[in-house]
Amino acid sequence: MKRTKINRGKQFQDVIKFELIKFLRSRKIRAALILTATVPLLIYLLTNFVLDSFISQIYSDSGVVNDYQIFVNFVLTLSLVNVIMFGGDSLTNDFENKTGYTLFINPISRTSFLFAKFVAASIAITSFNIMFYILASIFSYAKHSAIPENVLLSLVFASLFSIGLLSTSFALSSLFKRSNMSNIAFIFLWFIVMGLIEYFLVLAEIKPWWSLTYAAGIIIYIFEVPYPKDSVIDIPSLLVPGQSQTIVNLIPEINLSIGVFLMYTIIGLMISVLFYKRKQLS
Amino acid sequence: MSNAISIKGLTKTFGDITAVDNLTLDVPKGSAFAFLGPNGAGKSTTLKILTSLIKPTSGEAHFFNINALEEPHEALLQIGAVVESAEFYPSLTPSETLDYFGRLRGMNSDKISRNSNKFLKLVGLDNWSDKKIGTFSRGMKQRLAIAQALLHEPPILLLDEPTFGLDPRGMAEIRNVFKDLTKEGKTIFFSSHLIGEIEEICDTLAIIDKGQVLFSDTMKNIMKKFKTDDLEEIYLKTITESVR
Repeated sequence: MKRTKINRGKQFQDVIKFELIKFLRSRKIRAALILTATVPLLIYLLTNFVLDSFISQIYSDSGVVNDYQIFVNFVLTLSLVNVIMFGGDSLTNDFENKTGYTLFINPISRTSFLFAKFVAASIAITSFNIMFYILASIFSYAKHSAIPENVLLSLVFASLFSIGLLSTSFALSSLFKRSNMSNIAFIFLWFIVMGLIEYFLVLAEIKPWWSLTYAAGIIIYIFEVPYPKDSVIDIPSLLVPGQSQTIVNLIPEINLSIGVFLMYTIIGLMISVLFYKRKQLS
Repeated sequence: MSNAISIKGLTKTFGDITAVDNLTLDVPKGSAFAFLGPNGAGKSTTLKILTSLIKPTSGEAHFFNINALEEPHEALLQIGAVVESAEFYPSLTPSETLDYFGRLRGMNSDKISRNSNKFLKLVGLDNWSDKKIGTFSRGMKQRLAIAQALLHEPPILLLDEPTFGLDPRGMAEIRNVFKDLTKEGKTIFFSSHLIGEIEEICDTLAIIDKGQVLFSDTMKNIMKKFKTDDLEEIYLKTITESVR
């Protein structure tokens, strides 16, 4: 009997290639393009022409760093949206749409499929992060004739954050039968559960260093030279006019936060592999 | 004659339901083997186990001398399959889909291109090779499913209702394709409800109900045993007795 030797590395590349072709031809790529192009443009227009005086009241130094931080604040939301678009249904659509009946009868392991899909989605999401930073840099240069230091480092952190987030999306996607359910669980987890936990921990002056979204603070703080430290700030009270209130500004540590991004990526992928291998087309 | 497919004691349970119950079956090499049974008899579950889509609770399955459960990837290279109502990525074209599957099956570019053209023509999709599958009818997707099953020229074909969704002319064309394939010496394991189709294509038959094989033999021997050449009558009689 003739046995065929299959090049597993080549197979892996082929899955990535066809996943990217599918992305390029999908509606979600257009949605992501519009979103990534519109958000920096809107921030630029609003901060320069509509809310200029308001911004200058908030920031004593409305310089290149502060302006750039306003842009980068939105990269977190952009990542959440892009992860839902490119990762939310990656592991469920072959079961939901029955494409698995023709795909999984090929001699390739589920683990290879999963990792190839993960790499393809990471490429797509990182590409949009790069596009966002390029636009933010263009607008920053247009206003200040300069861009801040550490833009590249911030982009690397944003990409590591997005990949960690994508991994949690894959983990949830492997647990649910339908992409609607996994996307709802993803939104609930990151927008509600983690948001509330982080909020109350910070109120109690406890650093939620293990939280992916808290660690993502390094994407924004990296522009400040030197890198900031935890501090206590007095701000005008919102409740009692004329008085001030004290808030504690807890700053995520860079090395620890990078570790958190990587841990989420690894643990998310481990959960994904465990459950995706068990999924059956029955 | 050696066996292309050997199934021993195959069992699959879903909770309290036993879909396949200690099923044992041998499919001779080069035969056109019909797998006939009522809805829920366990035909599709058996085919899904053979194609590694689901794992059995117990039992064994071999393609020639390859254990399909222990070496699923090697086993999948020996078969081409059409399982359930096949779906494909709507944004890809038939040529791209076959290119993708051919690569996953370890074929080189020349062979993929040659076989894609050959089999798309055979199933009547040669004029649609560069159109997006998203625009295809059920019947066209089914033709593509047959082309992908043939793509790597496997010695065994596992077909679950392969003419599902085709119009009468399409069904006749595809039946002729299968008849030609049996003449070439391919082994066809054919699950269908269409008794006329089975009579036309197959030379061997197994009737299955409640996950068990009721009997299995050549068409000639079965007709001799039941003293009739009406397969529908044989089938109905067997199933009715099984229910009792």
